[in-house]
Amino acid sequence: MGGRVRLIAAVVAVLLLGGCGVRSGAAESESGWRTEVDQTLGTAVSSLGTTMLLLENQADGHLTGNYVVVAVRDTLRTLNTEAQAFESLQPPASEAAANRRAVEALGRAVTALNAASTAASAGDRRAGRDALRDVRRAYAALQDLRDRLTEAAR
Amino acid sequence: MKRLLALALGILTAIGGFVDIGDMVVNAQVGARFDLSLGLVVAVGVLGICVFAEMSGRVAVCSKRATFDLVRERLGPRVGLLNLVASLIVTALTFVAEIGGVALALALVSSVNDLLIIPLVGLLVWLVLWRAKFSLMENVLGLLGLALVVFAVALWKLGPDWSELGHQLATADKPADETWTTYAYYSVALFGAAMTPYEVFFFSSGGVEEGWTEKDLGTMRANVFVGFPLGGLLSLAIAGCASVALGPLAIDVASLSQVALPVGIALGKIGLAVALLGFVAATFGAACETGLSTGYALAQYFGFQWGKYVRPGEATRFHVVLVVATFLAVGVLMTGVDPILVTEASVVGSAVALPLTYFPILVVANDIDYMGAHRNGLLANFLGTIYLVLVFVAAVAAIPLLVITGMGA
Amino acid sequence: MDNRLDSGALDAALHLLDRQVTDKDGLLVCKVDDLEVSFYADGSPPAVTRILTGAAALVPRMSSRTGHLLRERWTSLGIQYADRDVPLAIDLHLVGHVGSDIRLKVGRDGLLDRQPPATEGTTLRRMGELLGMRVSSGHPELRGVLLDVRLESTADRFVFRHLVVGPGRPGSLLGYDRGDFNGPWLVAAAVKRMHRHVRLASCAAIEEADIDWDRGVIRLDGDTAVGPAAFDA
Repeated sequence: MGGRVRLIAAVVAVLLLGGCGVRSGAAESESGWRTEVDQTLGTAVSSLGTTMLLLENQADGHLTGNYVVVAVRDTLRTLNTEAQAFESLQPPASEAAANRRAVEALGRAVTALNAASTAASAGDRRAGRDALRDVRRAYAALQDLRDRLTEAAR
Repeated sequence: MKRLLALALGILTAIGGFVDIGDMVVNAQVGARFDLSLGLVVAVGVLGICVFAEMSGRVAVCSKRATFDLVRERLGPRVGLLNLVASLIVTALTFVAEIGGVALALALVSSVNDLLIIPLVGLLVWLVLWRAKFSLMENVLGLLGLALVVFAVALWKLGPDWSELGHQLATADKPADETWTTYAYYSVALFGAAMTPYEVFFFSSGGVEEGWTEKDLGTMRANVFVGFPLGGLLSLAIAGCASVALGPLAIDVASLSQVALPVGIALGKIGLAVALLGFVAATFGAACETGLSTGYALAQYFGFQWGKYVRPGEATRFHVVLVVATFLAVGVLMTGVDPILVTEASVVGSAVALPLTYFPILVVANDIDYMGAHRNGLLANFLGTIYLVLVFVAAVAAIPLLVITGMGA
Repeated sequence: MDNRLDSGALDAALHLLDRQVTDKDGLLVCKVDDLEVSFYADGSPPAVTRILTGAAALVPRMSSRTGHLLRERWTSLGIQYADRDVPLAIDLHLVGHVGSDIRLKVGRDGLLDRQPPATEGTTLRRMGELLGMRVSSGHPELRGVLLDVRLESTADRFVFRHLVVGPGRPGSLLGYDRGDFNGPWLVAAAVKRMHRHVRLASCAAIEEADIDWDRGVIRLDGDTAVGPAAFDA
């Protein structure tokens, strides 16, 4: 029986240790938040950049419609997952303002990608051009925000 | 003339069959983030798989025993079982990733949601495993996989600074905005992507399937030493394309569509279509290989009849395993798990599981009892020992690096 | 690959255990999951008499000597079957060739049947039980455990000739003790270093009563003939 008790104890210990790793409701530490914001903005920049390339090249007739539809949907999905995870974080009090700015910028990025996805699905050229303009703007804004936050960290 | 044709066919299928979803995804990711600064690792990995595959192919020719037979003979039933479980997990993960990859590639062609395509792909894979002749399956899919050469053309068309690329290839340096731990993590991932255990199970079992004799040793070596490195060049071309087209915009590769994007940019719709064809063929081919490999590993551990060289009715358990494996893989994919994530896990898992398969083959390749006159020479043992050390280092480092870097984030 | 039966001498763990069994048409039958060892009351040396296969042979080899946990669980999965613990067996006179596989002289259809009970004057044990047992002896050079058993093939059985005794685990010699191959250097050197105390002990006088099956100890006389294992023959 001793072996079984020990086994159960070991399993419980592992579960407890594992449970400690699960994210709790407490606020992130400052450095933890910075890592998160850097990664999330990086993903957003990547998604917007990809969509930019997709729309530009579609306008030049380089890419097939079906491919662009799926590819834009992929970038939207990637960004959505990442943005949702970020928005559920509780930032440290000192970074509340920066966090708000990041969340707003992410919201604009998601909107721009949504518009791009809709335009690609509908095959609407004019909507595509408008979406491309918005995506470019969001891309530049996010790059800028990311640089400033990295700068502030130094 | 006929022999020459057979030789050419073998080499071409080796090139086309070399690249699978792990190579495509990891190389594109690394290319976009690190440019070609990890190119040396790809070269080391490709040479490694050459050394390993040549040894296990030679063992298969001389002893008529495939890799997992020898794993159990040399490691015994307990450690052999541990290896079986580890290898099966990795191979099954790769199988899942490949089927998912086929579906993703078909989704890019048709814009139908990949969840709707997955069951169809599963059914097709199983039909091929059940019905198609071994050589037909290997040759057709391998030749179609050659479509990936379009990445090399695209790279040339994108017109990178070749001297800069060459410099990155030759030196082991990293871009300033990456840390050495992520560099090490991606080194292990690339190494694992190049040296997956299933490739060896499949290669050696394939030798038995096709009834290689000592006369075929030359052909086998040509396939390995010409075909695999050229396949490795395709991997590098994928990395180069991602580096030139996606790197400057700070794009991280997180989906298969992004891997194909540089080809579309460089070569337009036709190039894109060829690349997608290559994706489908390469992933479908690898799906068949990994599916068979799960059956090979199990059958060779427990000793029941395996292989497509006998009628399905003579290897019923083997075919039951294939059905179950395909069913499980489709089931896992239908949960909506991202095949790209599965791919990343499988290449790191490969690096962990490799030593237990590599070591017994190295020993048996020296054993005069099995090998007779064809046992390892000085060069094979020299390279074999270097890789034995490398393989162990990569296996030990893989999990800690995965945890520290958070899967390379 | 040469037929080991012709050369007469073969090692139980190295050449037999875990090998593939094939039938006369080259179709695969099973693995050698364990070997049946017969001990004789009339004083003749013990011998391997059958190939054992199936889960009832393999599972005990996975179990530890004292624990038997895995084996008990395996039996409890089919507690109503009387022969749950009896492995399938192949008679040695059906074996035609021992090389990289064990080739039989017959086809595989309906071949495997349960291991028959012991006949009068014999006791049946398994090689898997024997390997890894601690060797206790007054002889100063015999240290460690039973790594392998050197056999001699006769008409219908493989007779015990020597015990390979040394530190380590069964199977860890990897065949290097035969001395006919030597590479790669790193592995060969490591194996030889680890097994520098390996010795061959004659088992002419060994009896079933010399072995404590529960505690896993083989008792050998102090005057057992002991020779070196040929690493560099």
